[in-house]
Amino acid sequence: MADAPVVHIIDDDASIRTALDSLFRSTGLATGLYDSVAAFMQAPPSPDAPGCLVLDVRLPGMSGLDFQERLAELGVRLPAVLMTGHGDIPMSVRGMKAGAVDFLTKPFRDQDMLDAVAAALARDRERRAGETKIDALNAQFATLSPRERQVMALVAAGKMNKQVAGDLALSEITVKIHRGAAMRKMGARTLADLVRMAEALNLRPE
Amino acid sequence: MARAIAGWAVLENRPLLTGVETVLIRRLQRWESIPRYQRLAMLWAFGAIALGLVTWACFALGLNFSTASFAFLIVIIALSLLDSFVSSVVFSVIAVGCLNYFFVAPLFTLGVEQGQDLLALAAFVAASFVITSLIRRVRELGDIHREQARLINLTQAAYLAEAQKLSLGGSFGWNATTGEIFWSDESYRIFGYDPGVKPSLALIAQRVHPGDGDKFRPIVERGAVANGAVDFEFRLLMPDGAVKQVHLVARPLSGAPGQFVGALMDITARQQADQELRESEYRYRNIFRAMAASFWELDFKDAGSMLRELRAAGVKDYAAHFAAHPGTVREMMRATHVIDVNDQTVALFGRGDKAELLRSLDAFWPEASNHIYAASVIAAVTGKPSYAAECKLRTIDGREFDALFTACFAPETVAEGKLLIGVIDVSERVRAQEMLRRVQTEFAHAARVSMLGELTASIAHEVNQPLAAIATNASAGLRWLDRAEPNMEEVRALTTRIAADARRAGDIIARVRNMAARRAPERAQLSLNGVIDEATTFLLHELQAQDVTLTLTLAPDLPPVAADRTQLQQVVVNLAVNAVQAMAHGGARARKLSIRSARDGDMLIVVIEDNGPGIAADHLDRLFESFFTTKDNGMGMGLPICRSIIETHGGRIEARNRDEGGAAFIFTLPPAT
Repeated sequence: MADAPVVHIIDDDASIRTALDSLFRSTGLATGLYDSVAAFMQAPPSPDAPGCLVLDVRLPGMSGLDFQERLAELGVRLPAVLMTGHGDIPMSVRGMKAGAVDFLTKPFRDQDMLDAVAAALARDRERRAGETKIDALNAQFATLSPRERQVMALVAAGKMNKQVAGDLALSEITVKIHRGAAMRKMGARTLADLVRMAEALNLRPE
Repeated sequence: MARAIAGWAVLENRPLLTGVETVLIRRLQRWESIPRYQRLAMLWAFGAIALGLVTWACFALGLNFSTASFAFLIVIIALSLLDSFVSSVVFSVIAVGCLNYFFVAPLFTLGVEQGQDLLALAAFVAASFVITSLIRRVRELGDIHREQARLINLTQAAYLAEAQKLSLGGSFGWNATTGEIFWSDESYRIFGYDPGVKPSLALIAQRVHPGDGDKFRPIVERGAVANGAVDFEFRLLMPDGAVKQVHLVARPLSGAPGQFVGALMDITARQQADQELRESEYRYRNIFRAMAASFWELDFKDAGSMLRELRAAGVKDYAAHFAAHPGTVREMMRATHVIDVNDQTVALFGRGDKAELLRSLDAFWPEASNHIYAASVIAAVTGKPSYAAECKLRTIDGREFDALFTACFAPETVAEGKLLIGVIDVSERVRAQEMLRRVQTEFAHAARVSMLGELTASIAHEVNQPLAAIATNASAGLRWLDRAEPNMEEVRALTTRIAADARRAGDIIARVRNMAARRAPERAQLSLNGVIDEATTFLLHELQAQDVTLTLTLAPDLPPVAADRTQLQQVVVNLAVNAVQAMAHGGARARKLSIRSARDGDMLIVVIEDNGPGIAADHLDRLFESFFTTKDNGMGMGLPICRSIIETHGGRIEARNRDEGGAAFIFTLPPAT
């Protein structure tokens, strides 16, 4: 089931690994177990597959923190829950800055772990949902002609039709036609819709 | 005759001569000392005058032939006594001529008228010849006799002179009346004068030690007056400053008043030897009495006969026999009697009464020390000069204490069946050693605890892992149970894992507790590799946390070592932790720790190497000093304790830098025997 999220557990301690496995499965989550970062890198999950990471900050070969930064470089954007046997403040700060969802000290309460994983999965889902919307906008934007894109950008920047016509050396009538076409192609019912879309696409006048 | 008389001078111990003899010999000596031709001339002149005088006297007195012949005969006898046969014959012929010329008719001619006269002349000649021949024979016999006596005397004198030299004794004679003194060669030597000088009381006085002058003089005076025998010792002060001790014995010569004979003996060497012997004896007694050690003189005769009986019964290996028959050892102890002890012994073993210690030895010898007594007996029997061992001994009150027991088997005293033994109370030392051992143990413990402190983070993490797993497993189990359809399979698996994790946590805690335990070290036969394995298990987490790669190269088939497990682990852990900490400061290169075990000659060797920054040159010599540390929060006790542990186990430890960078710590241990 491609949509079912997977909790990827990376810990060199087999006891911890299997314990977490059983805990997550008891709540109906699917799990992936890895005893090292290397093992995880060898068979990384598909970027499309939803899920999150649960890993110890101290792992043989590469620390969990370093690993997290490395993943970001590689474009794997699974949210992570970090565990530590002896968490300290600098390490927690670094973890949170690198985008960790939570930082749990062993031994943790099961509910805390489940909450953290739920939050991570929610963040993953949100990110994925957001990414889906922008993808659609991009696809619609791709159907616009270059002139329509120029007009859309200037309109979204708040210019009047007359100003746009002056900027682009066009007649006001032509601007109105391009604007109408762009709104239709983008599926924008109002000017406000179009402005939001331009913002989401990070569109700026040239 | 001259030689014969000269020989007399050699005689040194002949009896002193009487006055008459002395005068006669003086005359003869004077006569013999005149050259022969002069003597002959004088003799012939004297003979001619004598014959002339007799002829004139007889003729003037008108004596007849017979009377004159007698007179001539007397003269010839007297002359023949003085010289040789030839001279006597010549004088006889002259005498016959004179008789014939002056007293036989016809007078004043050499002719003879009557046959009777011719017969008388012939008788005279014959008589004078016979007399001179007889005298000659007698003189020859006398010469031979004297020559023999001289030879005998020469030999005796030579023996005597040698013997006197050997005995350092000389003889002397003293005529108190005339002041004449006679010395033998040895006497000259004793007084230190050349044999040429004439002995005198003044010469003696020069040599007599000023301190003994007063002692010497009255005896000389008393000897001269009272004629008593003297026997005394006095000292001579020689010109070179040396002092001689001389023993003088003298007594009056019987039948010769005022004359003494005596003997002198140089007893300096004997005196010194006596003095040394006395001093030695004095020292020995002093040592025996006053030394701080306890001394015993033992009578071993009865025990010695027991030993001989054993040998007669065919016992060859005493050690085995004593081991098999402890009763025999005890019996021998009972047969060993204390003859004498010193004050220290009374203080150490007794209650102030020396007499109660003079009993058989077994009272002072606990059963546990039997083997020491047996070993000392064997040492004595096998000709060892001495024996020493530490053992427990017992006082008269029954209190036992640690003693150093020494026995001396001097051949002279052993032959007498006597033994001298010494005992030193070493209980203080044993106690101090015990204290030192305890302090060392305490320090080792403190160092272990301190080391555990440095590993706290690592240990906490290690304990945390199973605890976290247990907690998670337990809550997962509850969740499986709370489901609408409880998954018992899952719960069973989880419960099994909880038990395993709990055991694991327990093991870790036990390991830590062992390290932290304060207990006396206990030697056991251990596998060195096993100890290294356990130590590295202890460190695995720390090594992992510090990103250190550990390589173990353990030689198989190493013999076991006799060691305390915890202390040996402590050494390995301590050295490894040091290496890890050094590498943590050593920059970015991959950290490698290597632990090797191997055989190195008679010893086992362990090498712990890292590739950290190594040891600063000026630290190398001080690493094992107490309180020397390069760590910010170090106590400087770890390495000194490691060294004391290794050295207590009979090994050595050293540190050096590796050529390829990093430090190496090497320790050795002897294999268990």
